Amino acid sequence: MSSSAENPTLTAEITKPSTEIATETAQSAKKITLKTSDDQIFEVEESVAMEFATVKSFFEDAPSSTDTVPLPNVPAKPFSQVIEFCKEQIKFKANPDETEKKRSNSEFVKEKTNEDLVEMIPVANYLEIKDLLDVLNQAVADRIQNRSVEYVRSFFGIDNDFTSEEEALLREEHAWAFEDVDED
Amino acid sequence: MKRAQQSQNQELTVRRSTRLTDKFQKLSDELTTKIFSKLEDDPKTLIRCSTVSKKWASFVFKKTAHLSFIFSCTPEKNRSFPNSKLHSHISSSAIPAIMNAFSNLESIEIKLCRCPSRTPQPPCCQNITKMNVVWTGDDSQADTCLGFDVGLLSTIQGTKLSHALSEGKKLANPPKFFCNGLLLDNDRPPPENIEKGCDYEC
Repeated sequence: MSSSAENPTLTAEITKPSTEIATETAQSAKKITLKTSDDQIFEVEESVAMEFATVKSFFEDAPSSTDTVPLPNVPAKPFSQVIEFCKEQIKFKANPDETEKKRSNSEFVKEKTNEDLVEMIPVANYLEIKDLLDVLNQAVADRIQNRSVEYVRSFFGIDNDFTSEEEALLREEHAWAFEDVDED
Repeated sequence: MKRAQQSQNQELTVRRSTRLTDKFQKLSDELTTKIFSKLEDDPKTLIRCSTVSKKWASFVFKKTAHLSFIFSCTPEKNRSFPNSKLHSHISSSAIPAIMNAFSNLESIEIKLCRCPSRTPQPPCCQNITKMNVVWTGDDSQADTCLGFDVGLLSTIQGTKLSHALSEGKKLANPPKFFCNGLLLDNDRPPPENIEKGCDYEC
């Protein structure tokens, strides 16, 4: 089975190699082969792949297709984390438990770096995984909550294009909002 | 595959921070505004975001359709209770500037904070009986609601005052509002433990 673990270059780049990808949970389960933008091949169980609305509609158009599904906008690293999320999610489909689901979701984002979260957002969006997109957006919002403007800028890598006068004016207009900032 | 590996190698030499920056710039406008929509109940962070860049300012102020404030009774003019770790309090003096800046609001929600007392022992807002919200449009299509009587608040349990401007429809031309006054009738002196702030989830 092809997986990221076979590619030493990629493994060096991924901080937490997703060993789960290589783990077979059920031998009989139908696998779907997906190819990422950086030419990594992922074989995922059909039930997991159907969590990706984009992939699901691909198979609705061609139900008997055994072709590799290309994912041109999806790099391997965030994709392996997205798979990790979806594997957790499908457990709750059979066994809905909102409290446990929330806990699992917050556990998932807790151990992710800012970079991880940000890389996953476009992937979740492209694959149309609404729940994940929601969880990621919330996680990013939580991480910038009550932080300084400078922190938010560096978090998102955005250059300040206000003149110092313009910025001072904005800050003055909403002075209360710039008090009690959390430490960076 | 070999080409892919080479490009991976090249990417490894690029510093992580630079890569992060690149990734964020790839976040489309649509995806960025989705993050802001998670901050509708946190105008404080939203306003800070508006100071990040001109583009963000226009996202924040023009695309925000709903806002939710947590309001504390103001013991002194221009002053609100200290913020808690869980939420920010907005003082009434901040409202006019907020309403000027957010130009496409469809609805706002105002929640009263039961700070600093979780249970009415004594309730800090015991004597608030009425909250007046006055909205005035800046053209003839004025949208006005007066004298919102929110009832006795002595057993404040997440009392909410919510008024969808123009019944949820966007007002045309130009949909700008300002608040003439948001009054809390409160005869009580400021609570003594005000400096402790509020640690309750309102």
